[in-house]
Amino acid sequence: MDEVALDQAGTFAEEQGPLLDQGLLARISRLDIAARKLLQGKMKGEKRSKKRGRSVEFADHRPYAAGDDLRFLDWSIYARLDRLMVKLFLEEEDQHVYVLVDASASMDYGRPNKLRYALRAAAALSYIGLVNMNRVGVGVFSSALDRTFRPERGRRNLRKLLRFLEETRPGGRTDLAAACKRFALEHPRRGVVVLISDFLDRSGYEDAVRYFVARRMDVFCLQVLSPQELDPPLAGDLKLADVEDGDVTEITVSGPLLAAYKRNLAALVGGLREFCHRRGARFLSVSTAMPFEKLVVEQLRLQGVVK
Amino acid sequence: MGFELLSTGWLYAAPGFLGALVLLYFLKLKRREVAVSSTYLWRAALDDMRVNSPLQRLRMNLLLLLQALALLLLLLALARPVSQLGLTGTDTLLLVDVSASMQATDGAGGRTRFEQARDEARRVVEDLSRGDRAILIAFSDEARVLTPMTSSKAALRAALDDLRPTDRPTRLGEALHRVNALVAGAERPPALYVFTDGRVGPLDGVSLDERVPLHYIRVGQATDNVGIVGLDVRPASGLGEETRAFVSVLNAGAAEVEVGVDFHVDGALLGSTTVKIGPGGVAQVPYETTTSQGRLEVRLDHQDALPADDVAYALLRPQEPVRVLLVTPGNLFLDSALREDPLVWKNARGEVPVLAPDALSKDDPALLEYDLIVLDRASPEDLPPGNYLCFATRPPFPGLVDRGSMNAWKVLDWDEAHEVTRFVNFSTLLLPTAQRFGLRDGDVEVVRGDHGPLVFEARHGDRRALVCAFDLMSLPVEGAWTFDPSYPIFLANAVRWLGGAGRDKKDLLVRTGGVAELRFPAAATAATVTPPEGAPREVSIRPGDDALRLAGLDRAGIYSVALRGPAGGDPLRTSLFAANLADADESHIAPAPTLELAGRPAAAAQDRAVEQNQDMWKLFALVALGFVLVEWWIYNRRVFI
Repeated sequence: MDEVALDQAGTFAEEQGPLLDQGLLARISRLDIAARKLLQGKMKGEKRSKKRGRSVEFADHRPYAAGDDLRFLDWSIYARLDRLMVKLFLEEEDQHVYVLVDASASMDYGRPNKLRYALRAAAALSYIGLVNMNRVGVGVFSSALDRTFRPERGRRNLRKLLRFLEETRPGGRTDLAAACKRFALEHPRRGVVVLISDFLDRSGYEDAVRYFVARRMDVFCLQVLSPQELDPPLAGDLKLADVEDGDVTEITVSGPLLAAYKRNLAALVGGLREFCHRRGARFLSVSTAMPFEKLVVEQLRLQGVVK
Repeated sequence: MGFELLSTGWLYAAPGFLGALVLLYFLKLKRREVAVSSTYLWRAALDDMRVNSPLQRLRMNLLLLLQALALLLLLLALARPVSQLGLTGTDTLLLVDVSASMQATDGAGGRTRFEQARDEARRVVEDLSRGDRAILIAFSDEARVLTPMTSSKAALRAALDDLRPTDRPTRLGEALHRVNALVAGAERPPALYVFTDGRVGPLDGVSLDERVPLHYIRVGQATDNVGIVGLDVRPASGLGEETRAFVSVLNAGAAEVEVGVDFHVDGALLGSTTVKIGPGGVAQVPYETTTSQGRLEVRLDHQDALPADDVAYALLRPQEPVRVLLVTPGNLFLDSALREDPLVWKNARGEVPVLAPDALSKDDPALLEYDLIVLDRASPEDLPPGNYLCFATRPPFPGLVDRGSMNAWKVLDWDEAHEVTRFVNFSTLLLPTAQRFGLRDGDVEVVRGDHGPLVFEARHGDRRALVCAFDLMSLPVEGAWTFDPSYPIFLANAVRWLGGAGRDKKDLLVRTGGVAELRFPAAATAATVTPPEGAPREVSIRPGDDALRLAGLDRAGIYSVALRGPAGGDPLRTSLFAANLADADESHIAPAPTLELAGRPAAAAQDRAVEQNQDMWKLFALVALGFVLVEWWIYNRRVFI
């Protein structure tokens, strides 16, 4: 509640240091991204695919049709039943992991800084994806999709990806819907989509989530809020300026006003959670006050985002 | 037990303060700008609040109400609320010492005793309840009633503010006579507060009404002081003599001190000397100068608590001509010798006024104009007050007997220490005949002959005479004393001694609190007196006054008196005189531990027995603080509505 924290809510530039440190890397390298849905990939990978294909794991039989590969004919069935059946195998293929980070001006706020926290989460999830031979693509957006990292596979891309993330600079207004629509169009392959934002968008978050859900992506919304937003350390007569659009609101802080604010914030978070659950998406709202390691190792696991 | 506000002035300011408070609410708030990630949720919250706007207004009003209450309580605290413990309607006599010793700067931060005493008196005044009355009396060697018995604190405060210390000595007795007179007719005896350092002069035979409780509020603590307790100046006579000053310096401290004494004339340092004085001792410091005119200022080069007695003033001036009237049937020796004396006043023709013995009349007012009347072979039946030099004349003083003339006198002896015999040789005085006088007690024989006194001093009331038993005209021509150089010297000595300093000295050196007597020209009707500090004041001269008497000499220093005629305009004459403290009692500044009146000790110092009122401002201020805290809590901690 002290005045210092009030005026200096923390900026992205203030916080330095690597996005991922060695200790954390060691702890999360055994994790893997968990997809709820079986997804298709381009290459034969480590993930089971819904697509039946070539692998060692048997899935089913189906009647032979002209053109089928004769190598997969089940001769023992033919001998027993005198019918030509083809063996079907579960095809294992690589999984796509998309991480979308909101880098709008509103994310450059809070102590610890929200954007930094979001980038760290993106880095951690990307790392997990890369070491598990997933194809990891990253997008950074504000009012539109600003930068993208083309999906790549393998640990060797980690450094490139981290550099990509570290080059992120905050700025611009939030337009979730536009950015997500663009990203979904550019990345048509299904996969796990992690959307990291504060979801403080006047125009709403619903469309953004819908674009991914409609493409049957496995969506995970990670909402990042700072302690200063959850419990504003404000007092007195203030002129609040919106860092994104410069909108000014004059308030006189009082018990009821703060209560109303918190009610509205809870309604926003609750609405988002409800919306996600209805559409089979996962949702987690975290405060940047939560230790980052706890988020990755504990909370994301609980949510089933990683396993 | 009652409740009362002692200074209600603050309450009159209450509407102004409250108005200012409300005005502040109308002023546009200067809001602090704070950046937030999004105003989106705040806007929504504000919209929610709008629904409850009546409550919001109440909140603002509640804060305003609390602030107004706190403000009112603070103003009440400033108005000095008291609960009355005792009876009210008492009378108080406040006696404030304004004498010279009260100028001692031995208080904290160099504050004088007077300032401390005044503060103590103010405190008593502020503690007065409604219905209480007080009277303020300033005393030094006189008592001045500054206010009537009044319940108006404003009047008492104003009188205290106007009060100034003086250079006067202290006589508490005078003030107590006043007090007794005031108390005598009073129904209820007032309480008496004396604010002083306890150096109050003799109190023998002074009593105080038994019913009056006496409180002695003591101020001061210093004991060491060195001061000038006397200054005497002998003017230059015009016969090559020098001006001589004698300074008496007192060491009232307990240790020996070495003090420098500086002599300034008209602001310029003329001389300086150093003197050692033992504890309690007085040193006489003589000083001679050829300067015969100017303002002499004697300063002690010494740091002590009382600077007022470290300086003394005197006026140096050549001795004024002595106005001599010669009453004689004709005397060549007297006439020529007086005419040759530069100090004797002569008329326009260069002659000494002469009167025949028959024309001498006691009631002639013109006689009072003369400093000295020389009676030669006269036989007056009575004489007006004055100084007389008699030759072969019996002054008409009762008891002084003329036993007839005797022949063949010889001088046996003379008093060489007497002023009139300085440088005079009487051995050549041979007298064929002279009168024989029978002296009374108190008459002083100056020259003794073989048959009796030849020259002697005699007094009767304010008539003073030097009587020579012989006739100058009857001296033998051969080797006569009148041709000897001793004769004019004797005459000059007599003129100086009889007609000299006597009266002049009196108006040269005056004590503060005393009376200055000035002679004035007959045409003068008014005078403007300019004291060393302060505004000049006008004094009127009544016809028939023989001298202008000036009292009210509060400050030491040089006073200037411009005498004016009825037409006004330029002054006829401007006279100067010096007033000095020169009071050993005031220079002893050690405060008296107790004050005892006719064996009745006063309540000890600082013992403020009249705690009639209990201050309650702290309580009010505390409650106001409570209100401010509650207001702050509501505003900042947003706990309530």
